[in-house]
Amino acid sequence: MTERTIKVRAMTRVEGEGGLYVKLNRDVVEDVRLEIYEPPRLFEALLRGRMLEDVPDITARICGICPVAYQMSSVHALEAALGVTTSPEIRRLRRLLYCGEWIESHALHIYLLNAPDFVGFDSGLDMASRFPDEVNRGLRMKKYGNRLLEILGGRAIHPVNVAVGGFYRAPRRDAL
Amino acid sequence: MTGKPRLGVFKFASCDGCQLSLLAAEDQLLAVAGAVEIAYFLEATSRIQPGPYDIALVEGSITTPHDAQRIQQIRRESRFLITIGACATAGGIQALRNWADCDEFVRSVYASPDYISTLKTSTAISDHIAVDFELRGCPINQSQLIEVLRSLLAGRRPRTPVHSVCLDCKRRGTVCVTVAQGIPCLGPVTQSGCEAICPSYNRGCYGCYGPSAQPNLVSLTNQFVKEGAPADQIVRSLRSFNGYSPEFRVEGDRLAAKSEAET
Repeated sequence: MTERTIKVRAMTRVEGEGGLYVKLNRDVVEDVRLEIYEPPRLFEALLRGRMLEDVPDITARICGICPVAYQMSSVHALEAALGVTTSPEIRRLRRLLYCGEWIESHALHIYLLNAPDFVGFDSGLDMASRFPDEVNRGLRMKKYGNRLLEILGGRAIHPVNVAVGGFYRAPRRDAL
Repeated sequence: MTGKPRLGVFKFASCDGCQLSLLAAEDQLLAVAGAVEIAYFLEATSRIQPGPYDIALVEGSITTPHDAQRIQQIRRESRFLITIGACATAGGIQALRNWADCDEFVRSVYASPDYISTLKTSTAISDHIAVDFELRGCPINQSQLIEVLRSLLAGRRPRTPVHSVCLDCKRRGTVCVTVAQGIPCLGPVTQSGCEAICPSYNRGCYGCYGPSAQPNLVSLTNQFVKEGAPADQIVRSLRSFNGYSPEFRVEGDRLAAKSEAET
């Protein structure tokens, strides 16, 4: 048989929903279709008419795995539009908050979403049966990321402390 | 029930944050995963098994014709069905379309709107099927989720507190941001569950856990008006992550109609 098709109805261990269709003729890929059936939520439209203070809280909800990315991009856009510059301290604290998300989200990605494909398991949880120490290490790393998000942002998913111009409250020294 | 209870986790229109709360429960994750058989959880596992499911966690709101069908199927296959989060419980932030011209929304976002299949409304799961338990929050509280699962595994009916955020501020020792600084706060009408984080970060509650039990919204919004908040701003604050919950919706609509009549 020279023609083959690969059909994935639901891609798993990713954020969002979609399917994949690949058509091959011998070793040549003839057609690829990424079918995104994730429903549209129309953020660009629903943001119109909102107070600018609402924006980082709303854009966070685009993605529960990487809310800080959307909070940072929206406050930076608004600050640029308003001609507001932030102090180096604010920039550093924002970077630290963002690092928290990177650590959390990358650990999630590597240990629970991605690695199972490379070692032949259906999930990170199944993988833990053979590699308990490695999976626990990943979970520990993820927890450190979450901890940073909680200290600087108030909570790990949809942090509440990001504001246009800075933060609602600076972290306490002893918390850091 | 023979063997471990079968768990299904299903996503509709949402951000994934509520189901992520389960994966983010680092300390309890492996224990919870060991107590159930994960039969359907696309974000966690590639092993996809057909129903029936003993426990179904449903995240997200209904916004497409296909999803309106899919939730019926999930209900038929599930014994105890729990909605998790503001989208599933109240329609989520995407329910702002319910007050707007949805076609205009789609046209303003997508260059080729013909490819987009969506309903004109975003509605809660309970508008479509019977729901056995609702877990509030945007996002849900991870400890509450674990507690709900533990209750079900122990054969108890889950319970979560329904008092307002105010009580939690008192418990934490947070000075009231409204009384001390005049910051508008939805805490008096919003259900507990977040541990009252916003006032502890020097800002008003924005209602992401939805209405508390018997909230007195008219009294609160009268107070906001008395303190000089414009009506349209109060309406916007009610129309957010839980804006389409009946209590917030009724009060937001009442104020919007009133402010329209006055202008």
